[in-house]
Amino acid sequence: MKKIIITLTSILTLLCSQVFAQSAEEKGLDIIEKSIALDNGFVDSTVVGKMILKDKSGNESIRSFKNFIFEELDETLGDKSIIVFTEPRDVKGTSLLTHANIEPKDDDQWLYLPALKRVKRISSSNRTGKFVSSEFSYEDLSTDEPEDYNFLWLEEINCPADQSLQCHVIEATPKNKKSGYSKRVIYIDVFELRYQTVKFHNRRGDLEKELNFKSYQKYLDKFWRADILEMKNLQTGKSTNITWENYEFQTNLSINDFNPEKLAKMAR
Amino acid sequence: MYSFKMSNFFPKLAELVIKRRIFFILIGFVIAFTLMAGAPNIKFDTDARVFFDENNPDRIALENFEGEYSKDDNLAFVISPKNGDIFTPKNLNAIGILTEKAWLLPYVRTVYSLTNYQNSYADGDSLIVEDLITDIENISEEDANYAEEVANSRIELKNAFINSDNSISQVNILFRLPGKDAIVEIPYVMNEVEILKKEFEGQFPGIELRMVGFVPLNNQYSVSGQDDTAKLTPMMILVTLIAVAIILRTIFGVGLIFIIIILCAGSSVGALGWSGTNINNATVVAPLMVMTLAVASAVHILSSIRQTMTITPDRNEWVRRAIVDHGPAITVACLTTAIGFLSLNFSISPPFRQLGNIVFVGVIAALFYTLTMLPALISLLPLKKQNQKATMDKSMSYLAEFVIRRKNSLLAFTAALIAILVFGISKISLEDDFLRYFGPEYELRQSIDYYEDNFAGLNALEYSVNSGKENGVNDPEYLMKVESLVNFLRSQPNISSVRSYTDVVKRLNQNLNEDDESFYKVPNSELEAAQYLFLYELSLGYGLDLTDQINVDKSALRVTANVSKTTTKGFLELDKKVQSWFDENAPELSTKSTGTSQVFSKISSRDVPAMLKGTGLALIGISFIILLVIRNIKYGLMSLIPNLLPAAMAFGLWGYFTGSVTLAVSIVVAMTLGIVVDDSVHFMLKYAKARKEGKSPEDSVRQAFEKVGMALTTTTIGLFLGFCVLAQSGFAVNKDMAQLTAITVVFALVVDYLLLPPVLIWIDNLKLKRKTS
Repeated sequence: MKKIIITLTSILTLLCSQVFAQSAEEKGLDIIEKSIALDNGFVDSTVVGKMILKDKSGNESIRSFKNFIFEELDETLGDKSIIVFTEPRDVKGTSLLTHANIEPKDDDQWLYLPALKRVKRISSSNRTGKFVSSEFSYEDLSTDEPEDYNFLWLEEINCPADQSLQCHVIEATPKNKKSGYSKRVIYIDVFELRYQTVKFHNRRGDLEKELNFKSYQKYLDKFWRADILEMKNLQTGKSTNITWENYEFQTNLSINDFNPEKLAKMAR
Repeated sequence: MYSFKMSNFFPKLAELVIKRRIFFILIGFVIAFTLMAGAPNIKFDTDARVFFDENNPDRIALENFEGEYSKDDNLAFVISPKNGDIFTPKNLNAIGILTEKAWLLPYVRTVYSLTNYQNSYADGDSLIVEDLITDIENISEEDANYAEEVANSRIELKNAFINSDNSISQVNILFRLPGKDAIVEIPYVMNEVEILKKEFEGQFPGIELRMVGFVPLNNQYSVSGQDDTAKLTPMMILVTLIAVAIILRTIFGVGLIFIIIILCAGSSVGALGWSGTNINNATVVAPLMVMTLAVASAVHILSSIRQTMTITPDRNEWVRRAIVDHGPAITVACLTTAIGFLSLNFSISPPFRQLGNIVFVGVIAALFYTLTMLPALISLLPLKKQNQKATMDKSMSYLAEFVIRRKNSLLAFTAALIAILVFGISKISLEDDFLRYFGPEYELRQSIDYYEDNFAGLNALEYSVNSGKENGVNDPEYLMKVESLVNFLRSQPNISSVRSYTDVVKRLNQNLNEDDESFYKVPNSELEAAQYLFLYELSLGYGLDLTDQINVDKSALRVTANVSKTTTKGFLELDKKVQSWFDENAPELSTKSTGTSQVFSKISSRDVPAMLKGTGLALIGISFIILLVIRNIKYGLMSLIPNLLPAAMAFGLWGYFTGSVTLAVSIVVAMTLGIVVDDSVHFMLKYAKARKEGKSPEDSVRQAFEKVGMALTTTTIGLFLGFCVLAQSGFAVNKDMAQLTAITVVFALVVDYLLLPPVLIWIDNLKLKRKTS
């Protein structure tokens, strides 16, 4: 009798593991990891960003900036980036240097203020705060670090923003309680594993924002970049669009350029 | 005495009602039930702003302001630890937990509290902007002491997030209500808030938790409206029926009256439902008013029946006499009342217009039912014949004799009384503190009083100070002027706290200069100011931003001054001081105040002139009816005295005893005019009739007292009791209105009995003397 049960159990276990070779959690993580891995090796990039903030009644305000990114090869560290603002005029030259870290360690950030002609280290525990009053938070703009989330693959459907594409739907639940979201639902197209849409659910669990990635282009025959990011706050009716122009890759930036002491120079 | 048509109309109506009694009963019910079918559509409004018309200039200004910054749909949890010290690790932990949980409420826009206060400071060459309590789960004694030190050194926190002795704090939750259906949204929010409150109280028994703010206040509008209905309706029915039972001494009659008042009130509410308007705190008393007014009409018919039944057993004759003898009087009474209420349409406040229209429908319904359905029911149903004569008639002749005997002293006495009373009007002040429209029996009101007694002001003066150019808020010269405005406001004793971005920019200037206190001032250059602002916006925590402090194109700053324990007058005077500050110091920045408190503080002074117009027109309309009925210019003009004086006397009495009056003040005269006019019309009519028959002025007065004295007394008592019931409302506007009306009704009777007869005798004797000489 005992033998039979053991045999049965082992057969069942074997069956299960074959049918569900991959759990939904594993599948979700796998896709995200692959998607991120596709971007490895870009070395560095520069791009000009223009952010258009719109309120409910259509009033617009514009932030323009140049973005430098340096790929960090060390797995335990995040990428380094500099944002140099060019618009509005009264903040021209204001620059933000970020050394990303893996959670729970906060990123290191420095700010250069031309009016003070000084670099200040700033606290960055507020990753959930709004980025220059836009609908993007720092959290939204940084690359997903798989270690920070629990992923769950849900289904495969037509992509919400582009019905001609098929998308994986993956739910990402942050491990960090301080996150501004209870979860995000990520739509990644099955062919190129590019982020197509992200739906942000606020701490309460209500759908708050929706981000669509548009006009993907391939650079260096390998790296996909969306030229347009459209973020809409469904609760306030406000929106922020970012358009990226003049992407350049492997521009011979050095890690020294991302040193706080160099920030004033980079800001020019 | 009535026009030819009128004198024919009522006998014809009587015959018709007797012949077609079944038809009239049925049609009465059909009309009533058709109207009542609209009642289920009615919902309770949950918005203090129902009192403001869409085109109220103050409301428009407020909504523009809110469009530029934000609408303060807020709820503040007031936290009072029993140990009297906010700054203990445990209490700070509680505040932190409440702050975090508050984020999970529906429609939350932002949560502000002591623990998530964005504390900025310099640390070597670093600038830190972080929550005052960075880790709420691990608060040491040192953390608590540090928080205490910081909080007490920040002017923007004192009297805003901690009170003067650090014993009370608050968590202020700002909501972004979708505004699609406030009737659903607000109770939905409040429901979750109550759950959170219970949970918190269970977890932290050492802390008292209270709630104030616009969301609970708006919710209160629906709650207390429903309370009023639930409390006042049975009271009104009971009081009415008991009064009727005493007057008429017939249970059967009480039953009939019950049917009639329910149908009248139901018809009026139903009409409101069909019109698609929500019911609100002010209109909730309308059906009860209709009941009171309908009783007066119905009692006339029933008392007539009682009198006739002692003479003849012929049921049809009872009905005939009731309609023919009392139909004209009831018609006049209802029409004048209806006109008075219709004139409320001149009010700038929508609930009063709705109130006027609901009561108008109810009174017209009352006229119809009492002249058709009620007599039809009497003629059909087995009403027991009674031979006992109703009392009170005797006391009326005593009164008549007294008035005639003492006419000269009465004239002097009442004239003096009136003069003294009317002088009291000067003591009346308009008082519209919308926070205190609700009686002290409500928990919210207790919390509001507690908050203002122990913490800070809830009424707020709001200013949007415009620099005149885009990004102008970074101009140091402009910032310095706003700063001195803020300083001026802070120097006012009634102002508990002021909120302005200038505090932030000064703090940042200090932080960016290694926390050197000499830099706690407006930055020197526009670029510095702009970049500090930019830096600050980059650094703010979850859900926090400056959109409710700085407008979109950064051309204007908001300055909010909380005013504690003030009267409407004091509030407006404070604003006047601010305006003269602008004139003297920064005329180019001058801006009018706004805010919910401001809109309420102006509403009475806006409605009074509007309603004066309405009251004037009502007076003309009612006078026209009086003239039509009395057909004598002299008596018609004289009837104005007893019609206008009672309200003036009531206001005067109010001035001596209470002093302050809410928005209700504007509508009382128009409302009561139509009600009290009946008394004098009836009295004058009987008097004029007797005079025409050749009787002396004295005998005519006697006859008038005998004929209508009892009816007037009973209706006045009925109305007085009815409005006394309404005065039990927990809503100040209703309470004031009902009390003033109750007093007015009594004064009307006093004037009709004690002043009018001596005046009539005096004038007519004067004429007689002149004729003889």
